[in-house]
Amino acid sequence: MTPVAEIVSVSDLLNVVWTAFLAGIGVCMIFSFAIVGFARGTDARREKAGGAAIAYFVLMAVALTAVMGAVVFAVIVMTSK
Amino acid sequence: MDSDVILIIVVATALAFDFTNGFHDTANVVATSISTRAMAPRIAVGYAALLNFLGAFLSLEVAATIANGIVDADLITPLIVFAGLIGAIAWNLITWYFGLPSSSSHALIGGVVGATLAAAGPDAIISDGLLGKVVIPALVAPTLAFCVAGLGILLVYRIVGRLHPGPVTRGFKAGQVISGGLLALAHGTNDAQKTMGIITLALISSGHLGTGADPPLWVIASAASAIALGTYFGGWRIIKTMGSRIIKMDAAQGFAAQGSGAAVILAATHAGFPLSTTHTISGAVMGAGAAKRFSAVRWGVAGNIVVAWILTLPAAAAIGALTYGITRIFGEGAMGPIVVSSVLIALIGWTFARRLRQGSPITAAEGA
Repeated sequence: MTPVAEIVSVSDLLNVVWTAFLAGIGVCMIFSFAIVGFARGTDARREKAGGAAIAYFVLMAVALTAVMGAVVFAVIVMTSK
Repeated sequence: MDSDVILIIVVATALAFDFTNGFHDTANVVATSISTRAMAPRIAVGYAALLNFLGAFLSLEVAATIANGIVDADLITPLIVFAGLIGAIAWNLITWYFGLPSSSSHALIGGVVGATLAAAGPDAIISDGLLGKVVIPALVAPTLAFCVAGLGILLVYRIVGRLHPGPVTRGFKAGQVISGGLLALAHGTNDAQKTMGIITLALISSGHLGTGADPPLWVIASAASAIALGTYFGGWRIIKTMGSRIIKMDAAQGFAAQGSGAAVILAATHAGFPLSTTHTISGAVMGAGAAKRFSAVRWGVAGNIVVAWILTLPAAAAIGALTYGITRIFGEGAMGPIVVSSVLIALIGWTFARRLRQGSPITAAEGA
């Protein structure tokens, strides 16, 4: 009888597990930082704190770029195999 | 001549199966975006249909698994593929009628395996492929989606927890345009490839393609179109019947569930695992729900999914085997598939009419 470890491609399965964790949780976290940047930046602008507002909006822009980059990367990886 | 007729019937049946797959699954793909009001229903359905179509062109790994990794393509005939498809469609119809959350993907694989067992015996089944590429990933994927979505939403609440709810909700609603699109793309790439794989298997078995061949472009384009059209037309029915059947969740949970579900499906597709997208999305939705409030999850649906897991492969296999036996009564020509298809079409019409009179039992956790 063939051992299960030989039947299942353990490396493929582990790749799926860590990729899903990294992508799923990573995108959730990074997008949350974009929302923090947007919300805090809006508050700071309302309170006339220009420097803080710029910093928060930069955080938002960087986070959104990272999320979009992750999506594009995922599509490239899917099409490249 | 007869073999060409059988092949045409197989291709038409496979595309019809693909259409019903999209039709069945629209709820899973768009429900979260619509229930959190991230997107208007019309836009959500059109957007999902378009991304389902595009997703089908992304990868061929799952199609290769279906065509060459589960049954020995050299021992398969178009009649076996036909019987397998009928097994899957019939099982989907039965579970739809009784409101069980079945997986079209498992039904398709079960049907083909059953018909192959009946026609060519156990030697024609690649049992390592069936266990390693289908059964074990089918168990892992929903659990993984549950954990990723659960952990994801906990981190999201930790990061945005002290902010005013207004901008957070608006932000995550905007984010759902991305996560919902990714989920539709992921659904298209995994589910459309199953039909591509089945048609490719039929083309290999009829001698139109060599063993190990990839699906031709017309197969990819027709499978992509069938699932996209199914998604589009299924959506209008869902919009009419949505009501209270959709799980209520906030925009952050919707984002986490869609993003996690898409991540699991895309990663599995890349590895060539033909998953049940419904079970994976349901796992993610339950994970996002359970992390906020354990009792918010409809654990009864989870129980039904487990029952469906256990039943679908053997039941579809039994129907596939029975269909092969019935088809063979009429010989190896086209008469068997013509008679069986005609009976099935009549049965589908009767079942739909009866079910529509009684009210649809379809929930967001149903389909492939």
